[in-house]
Order: sequence, then C-alpha cells, then structure tokens
Amino acid sequence: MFAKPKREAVMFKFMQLFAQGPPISRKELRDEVLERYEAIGRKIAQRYVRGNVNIKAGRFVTKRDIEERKKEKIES
Amino acid sequence: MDEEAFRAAAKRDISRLLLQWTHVEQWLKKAEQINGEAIIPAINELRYASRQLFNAINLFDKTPLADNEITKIGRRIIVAEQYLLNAEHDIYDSIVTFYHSVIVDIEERFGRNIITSHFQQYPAFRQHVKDCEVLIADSRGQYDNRAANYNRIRTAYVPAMISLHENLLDAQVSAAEEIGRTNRQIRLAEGRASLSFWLHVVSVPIAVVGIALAVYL
Repeated sequence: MFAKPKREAVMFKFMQLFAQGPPISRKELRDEVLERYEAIGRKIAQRYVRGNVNIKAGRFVTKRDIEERKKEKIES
Repeated sequence: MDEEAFRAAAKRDISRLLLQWTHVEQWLKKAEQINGEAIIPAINELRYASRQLFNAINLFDKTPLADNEITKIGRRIIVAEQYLLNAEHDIYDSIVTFYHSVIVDIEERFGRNIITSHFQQYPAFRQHVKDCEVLIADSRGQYDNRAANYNRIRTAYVPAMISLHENLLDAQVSAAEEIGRTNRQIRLAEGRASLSFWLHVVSVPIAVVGIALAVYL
C-alpha cells in the first residue's frame, strides 16, 4: 500500500513517541558541563578554608624559622 | 650590615615581592576563570601580604633607622613573602584539586575510554594532574623541596593543563552527545520491538478468527 521509504517515515514518527523528547543541543550540553564545573569549584572553595585562622594565631613556619632551626641543629 | 646596605637590600626585596604580588593576582584570576569560584584563602593571604609590605614601607621612610626598626622591616618582608607563597600554593592546589575532581566526575559518567576517544590527549592530561599531586604531597613531606616542586607545577604542569581545558570541556560535550544518541537509538529499538510484539499478539487471534470463519463458511 505504502512505498517503503514512506512507511519507514511513518514508523519513525510513531517510534518517536517512545523517545524522551528531542535531542539536546550542543550548547545545552556545554552549559550542563559548565554547571558541573561550577559545582565542583564551589566544593573546592569551601574546602580551602585554612589559612587566616592559623596565620592570625601565628601557627605557621617562615623561611627564617627553618634557617634558625637548621642552625640550632648544626650547633647541637 | 650598615643602614645603607640594608636599605638597598630591603628595597630590592620589596620590589621583588610587589612584582610577585601581581603574578599571584594574575594566577588568582586564572584560577577563578577555570573553576568559577574565587580562592578566598589566597585572597586573604594577598591582603595580609600587602599589609605587611605597607607596614614595612612605612617604617622604611624613616631616617635614620633604629636597630629595632631594621629588625621589624626584615621580619615584615619575610612574613610578606611567606603570605605570598601561601597564596600561590593555595591557587595551584585548588587548580589541581579542581581537575582531579573533574577527572573523577567524567570517568564515573562516561568512562575513560569514551573520553579518550573524543580527547586523545586525555591520558597525558590525567598524568599531569597525578604528577602535580605527587609533587604537592612531596612538598609537604619534604619542606625543602617545596619551592622547586611548586616551580615545576607553575611552569610545566598548570600551563599545560590550562591549555587543554577547552579540549576537556569539548570532549565531555561530545561524550554526552554520544551517550544521548545511543540512548535514543536504544529507546527506538525497544519501541520497535514492542510494536512488533503487539502486532504479533493482535495478528494471531485475527488469523485464528479468520481461519475459523473460513472453515465455518
């Protein structure tokens, strides 16, 4: 009754009902990846919270401290 | 060291640290552009470094300098340098940690083979991140290696990783596209199989009824 290509086309349209929506564009996929990057960046930003607390309390080693300790070791 | 010699040395140190300050700021901006987040601790370290340098320069303007002022200036220069190093190390650590997390995420979602098929330098990129992690861990265990290790990270690894950033992003987009396409094909095949099944289910009783009618008539 129908020519083969036409039947295929009708079949394809019917099968589209089983597919979940149209394909996502490359730009949308790129935006999704960038959103994931931002989420990872946020996690990392939260992780790096050391620093000022220790430094304010003077709990850090300077080059000078190391040189002094080396001298003390050599002398002892 | 007499005052004149001290002033000359301190001036050189302050100029060097101000230049380092601008380099650190530049890297801070690059890191922000990569992971979309400001590296707050590094910004704080820069603030503290600038405060130390400001105080050192303030004392520096006095003439003549007392012994305790010379000591104070020297101390502030050392502390400022330490703050700048901390800022710089925070930035590189955060870049490496960011790429490590991205690698974990994409390998979990797509698998190493799919990403490599879209981004042939992916194994090399992955190795850069691993090498940086080894250097960072070593710089904590061996404090003397810290400067050399971070210098390698700064000059060799991080620029290489950043130059591949866009390729990594494109590979993820292509891999997601490929997976989407495959999923659609699977769904279509499933739909086709389901339709075929129901056509058979309907056609068999019709055929039976047809045959029965033919026999009856």
